[in-house]
Amino acid sequence: MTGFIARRLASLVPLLLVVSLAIFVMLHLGRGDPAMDYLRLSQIPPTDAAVAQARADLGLDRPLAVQYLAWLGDAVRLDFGHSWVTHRAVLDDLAIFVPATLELTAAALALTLALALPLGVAAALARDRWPDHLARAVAFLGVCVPNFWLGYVLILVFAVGLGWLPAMGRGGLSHLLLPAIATAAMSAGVLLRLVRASVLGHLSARHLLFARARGLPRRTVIGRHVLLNAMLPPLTAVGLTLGELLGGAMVVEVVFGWPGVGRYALQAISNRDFPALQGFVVVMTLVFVLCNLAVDIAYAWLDPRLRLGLAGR
Amino acid sequence: MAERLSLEGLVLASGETELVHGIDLAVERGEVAALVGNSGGGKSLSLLAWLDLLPPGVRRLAGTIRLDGTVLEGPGLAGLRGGVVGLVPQSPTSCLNPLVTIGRHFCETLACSGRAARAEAAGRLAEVGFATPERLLGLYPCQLSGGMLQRVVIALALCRDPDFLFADEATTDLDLESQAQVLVLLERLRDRRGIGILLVTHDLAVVARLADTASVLQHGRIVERRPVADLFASPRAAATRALLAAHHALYEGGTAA
Repeated sequence: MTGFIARRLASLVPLLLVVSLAIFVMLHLGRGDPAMDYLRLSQIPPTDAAVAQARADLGLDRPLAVQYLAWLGDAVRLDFGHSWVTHRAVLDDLAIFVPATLELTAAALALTLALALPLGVAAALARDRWPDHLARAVAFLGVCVPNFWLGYVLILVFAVGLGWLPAMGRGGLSHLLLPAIATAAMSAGVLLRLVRASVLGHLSARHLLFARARGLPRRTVIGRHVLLNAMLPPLTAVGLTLGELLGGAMVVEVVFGWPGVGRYALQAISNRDFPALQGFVVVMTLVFVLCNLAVDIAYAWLDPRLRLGLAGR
Repeated sequence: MAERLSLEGLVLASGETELVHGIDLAVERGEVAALVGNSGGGKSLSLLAWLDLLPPGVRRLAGTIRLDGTVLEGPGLAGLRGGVVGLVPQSPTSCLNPLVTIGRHFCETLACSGRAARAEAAGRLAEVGFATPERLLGLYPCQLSGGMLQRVVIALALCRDPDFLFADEATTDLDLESQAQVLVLLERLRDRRGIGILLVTHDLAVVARLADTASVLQHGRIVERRPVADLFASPRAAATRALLAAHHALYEGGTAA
């Protein structure tokens, strides 16, 4: 198990290298002169002398490979440079905004699981009866409705109309609820369908015949021998769902005025704030990959065939 | 303690197709009854019908099940599972939950936990011929060979001390050594504990070795039922003769009788 985790952590290094190189090249392939953007954002008149000075200061006069290696050298020491907009260290900026996004994503994930697991299981166990129809209708709606539209509807109904919950900003649980619902709706719908299909599939597993023949009570047969095994495919999906939720959270943040990294990134894109974008992409990649590693560890813990390296038996 | 479990006039159907056309079967304590026949003849389904464990889509249209003369239905049949009848299903590799340890399979079947359960489970495993049963309890099914799994499955089926054991192709997937071990085990169960065994198989060598009587099932009908010695000496039904001929051709290199 330790070896498994160590191998996965080691594979992070090439992944982060490739991602950071790709985003670096893409940003510099874009049209326009980064030095001009820098001067504009710093409100310095773009005279020839100023442009030349900015190029030299930012290292833009050096070859691209040298620039990347310089950035990399700083990045491994956790120095992602300074934002051209806020003029603060990129890492300090991210330290403010990323936790807010992670909070929203975590709340959305909790909501996704709280909806998808019980409803998916109930739907499968009551196949083609009303709980099944209800759960499938909920899933269908969740998948169909765009998250930003749902966000506005939720604000309109629960904040403006009924006045139950605040419409904007970050605070306690009451602030978290509406954006979390808007973020989670689609993933919950997808995961619900997956849980339902997985439970249905495992209801006909061959080992259930022997479990029933041994005279085990239905509670044990369903609880241990159906649900435990049926949780494996949705568990893998949770890792992918996390990426969906992170991306969704960044859209929903804008609707709810949530002070997350989505707005920071949007601002950085429109201003072509290179250091901020570069740092943002690397940190979010790291977050996503580490979450998936956690999912894989949970999977290996649940499935001895994987843990013991006997996959396929 | 139950003496006789019987099934009369069993008719099974899937949709419009009748699979089993009114067969009678019985198993008595201390006796081994064999049910032989080719694949697809309805042998396994007949066993499952007994415990109300038919797969979805297969229905029991008729058939009376009696335990010592008492007619059983629905919940009564479910009540046979484990305590009165131990079932050893086909293919032991797919009988156990791959995510659950051997020890936990025993705990849930014995309906107890902790140290007492482990000791009891180890005793049950020793009974089916494991020299160091404690080591097995922490293992997962994927870490055991087919022969070991078959014996684990038999031990689990015997956990609640049933009066009868239904063994569905219990030796088919095994190598010769494991096969011999299982046969010795079944023999001992009959002789020492007086368990009544219903043996479903297409392997006549197993029948000759172990069974007292044999019923030949073909296309959902019992075509011959006699003591095993008579059956081998003077087979009457064509299906029996074909089975015997195939058996001789396979094991003795002889020509069809």
